[in-house]
Amino acid sequence: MLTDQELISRIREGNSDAVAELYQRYAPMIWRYVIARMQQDTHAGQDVMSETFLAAIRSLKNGSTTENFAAWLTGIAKHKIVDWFRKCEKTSAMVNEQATQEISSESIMVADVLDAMPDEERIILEWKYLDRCTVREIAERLGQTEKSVEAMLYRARNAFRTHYETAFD
Amino acid sequence: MQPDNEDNKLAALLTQQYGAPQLDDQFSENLVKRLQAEAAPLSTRKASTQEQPHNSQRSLYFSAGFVVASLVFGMIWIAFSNTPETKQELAQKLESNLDRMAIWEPDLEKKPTRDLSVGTSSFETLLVESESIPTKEGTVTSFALTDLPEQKVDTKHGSESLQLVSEFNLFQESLVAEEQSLSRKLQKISAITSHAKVLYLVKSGQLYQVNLLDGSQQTIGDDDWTKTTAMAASEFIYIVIENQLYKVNPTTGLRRSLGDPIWNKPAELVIANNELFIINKSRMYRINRNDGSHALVDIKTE
Repeated sequence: MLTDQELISRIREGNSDAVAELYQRYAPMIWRYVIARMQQDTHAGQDVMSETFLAAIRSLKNGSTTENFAAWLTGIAKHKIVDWFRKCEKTSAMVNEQATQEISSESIMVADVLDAMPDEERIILEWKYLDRCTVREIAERLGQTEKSVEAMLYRARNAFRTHYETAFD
Repeated sequence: MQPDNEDNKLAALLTQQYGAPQLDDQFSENLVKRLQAEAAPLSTRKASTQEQPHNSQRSLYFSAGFVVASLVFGMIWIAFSNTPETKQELAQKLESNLDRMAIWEPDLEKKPTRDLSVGTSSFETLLVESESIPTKEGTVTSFALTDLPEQKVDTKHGSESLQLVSEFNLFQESLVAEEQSLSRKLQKISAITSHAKVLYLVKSGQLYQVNLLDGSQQTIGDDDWTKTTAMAASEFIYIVIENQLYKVNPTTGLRRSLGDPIWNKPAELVIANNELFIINKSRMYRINRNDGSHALVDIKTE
């Protein structure tokens, strides 16, 4: 499996397989991130999602570099979500109230807790517990050893627990 | 608590509270194609994306050429009429020529200020360029449309005048050919609309956006828009292709169908007061911009 940095290099060379691979790798994470912050509006979420990936690819093609691609991509998504809500403020007709869903307070809290965590830890938790990646797969993606990934996971679990318990108090 | 048990609890909590609906496969497929097209080396991209800037550049050269020809013609006319002429009179003639040119060159604005210029062409630029044109007679050929002093233009008769007339005629013929070519190209525009200083147009099956402030233009997506019958734009572009209404993201070019395919050859697609309307078979409908549902607008009561 190629590391993120290797994929990015290939994308810069115009390799279309690398684009598909990068999308497959990060689409679930970005989709969850976007949808949790857009009241589960899948239509709007798709727009933000596509704008995020498009901006990322354009930026990589223009020579942008990043050590932590996942965190960088999440940052783009964050900006695109903000842009979206700005647009909604301008044209109230665009808010799709039928498409949005009531979100439980616990869901909001979990999203807030994840937001409060460092990107690296949040991403590793998602890969492990939501995308069901093995430690080895995560290590290969990040270009790190399995031991260091296990250590990161340990820290991430503790950080999540601490933030979550604090949020309940 | 056992680590495995804790892992399971965490997985359950995250899945329940942070899980998202399944990503639509078709959406992912389209998006990946779009991203791959974006990442592809420039040389393999559609030639059509390069066509527009090239045309602009050619139009600029052509426009500059037209100004040169106008100047030469003006000089010859002065030489033959043997009547001294003021710069202002000459400028008026040139301006008249530029007005004629603007009829077939939509990139040009009439007012000679840089603010109003669109694209790479502007009168100011053209006139500055005209200053650098070498003349065989060594006469004054440069001037501006503003702040013109009443100064006589010193012209001389020359033996090369007849040759210049001949060259001008040839040039004029090439202008006519180019004008016809441009007209043919304009005929390929099947839909056009604008929003917030951006012009959207469908030309030769390709959707373009043109920034009206700087003239920059780019294609939107790689889909085939040939069968577009109506178009309107706000934050999104709304397009009817055949009988289906689509909502198009102007940034990515990705489109999503809205409602059922019932809009056979709509007369107009309009956005007014933040609402989308379709005029179809002499009736006006208000369209929900999110799900495509529609309601007949009773004009008498509204």
